[in-house]
Amino acid sequence: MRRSKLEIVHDMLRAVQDKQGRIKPTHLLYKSNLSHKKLTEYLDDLVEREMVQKVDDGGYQYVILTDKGANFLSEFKRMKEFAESFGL
Amino acid sequence: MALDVPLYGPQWFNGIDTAFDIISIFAALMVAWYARKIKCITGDKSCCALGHAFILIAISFAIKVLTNLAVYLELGELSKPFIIAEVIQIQILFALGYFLYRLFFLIALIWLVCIGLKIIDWRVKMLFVLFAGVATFFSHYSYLVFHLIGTLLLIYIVADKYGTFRQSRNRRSAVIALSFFAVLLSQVMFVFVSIEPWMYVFGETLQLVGFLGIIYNQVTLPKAECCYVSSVPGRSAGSADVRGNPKGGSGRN
Repeated sequence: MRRSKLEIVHDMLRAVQDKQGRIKPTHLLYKSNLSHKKLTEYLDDLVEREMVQKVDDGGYQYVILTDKGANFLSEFKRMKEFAESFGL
Repeated sequence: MALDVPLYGPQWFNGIDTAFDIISIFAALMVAWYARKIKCITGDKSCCALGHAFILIAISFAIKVLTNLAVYLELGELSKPFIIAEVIQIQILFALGYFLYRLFFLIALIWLVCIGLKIIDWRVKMLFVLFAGVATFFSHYSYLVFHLIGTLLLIYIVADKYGTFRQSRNRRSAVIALSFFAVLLSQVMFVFVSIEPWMYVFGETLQLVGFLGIIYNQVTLPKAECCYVSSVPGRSAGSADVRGNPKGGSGRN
């Protein structure tokens, strides 16, 4: 079944959180089950919305979860049920 | 000169209908606020459109409430015998208030139809808004036009919400479908107000039931999970600090 945008964002952030809030983009690609192009699009959007940050550490790039991203995860079930009730 | 301000329904109901409408405003604002919150967090455009539709509903009911209150007050202060200027003032106030109420309400319904039909083209939306403007203009001469068009638009919305319920089979979408169905029935009742004033009471009550259903759906949404919040103020478990160090972590996985 096709995932909604809300669900894709949730899956991505959950993948980061499951790795203690810090994940390599390659791992995120596997975990979030997206194409490279789509992952880049979503990741850029999440960075813009300050839900994650991209940082360089020891020559590796990491994606880290921000407080805003963690707040999204805590609100996710509520938001999903709201959207589903209105058929969005 | 006859006082041509069509106050709907039995006289004892004047004021009670305003209270009902205030509850509807509250319900619409609750949905609009939460849809806006989701839009801010996720950038979801359909939630944004839903928020706009419910804000328009809230505005339309607010205008109706203010118009009714102003008319009740003006009627109370009317001198006897009537002074024509006073009567004309009340009529203009009533006509203008109801014009804006109907315009905003029809645009809100059109917005909800566009969400259901997944219409995103602004040209199509503007065409519908133009149609709402024309319909509102003719509603000034016969309120039936407004309620009939409202009924037709609500049939689309209820069909869409029922489709959502059939797909998901969950209780929430059933509540929303039933809520819009109650609002649809209220519009049907309003069509017959000129024949039987009691229909206004039934219509307003059904409309209230519809919006109470929306409030029920909103207040029974699951609470936000709090397991992500750590004891450290301003920091959440599972999130990282600005330098990229995860909470409690050494900086490298």
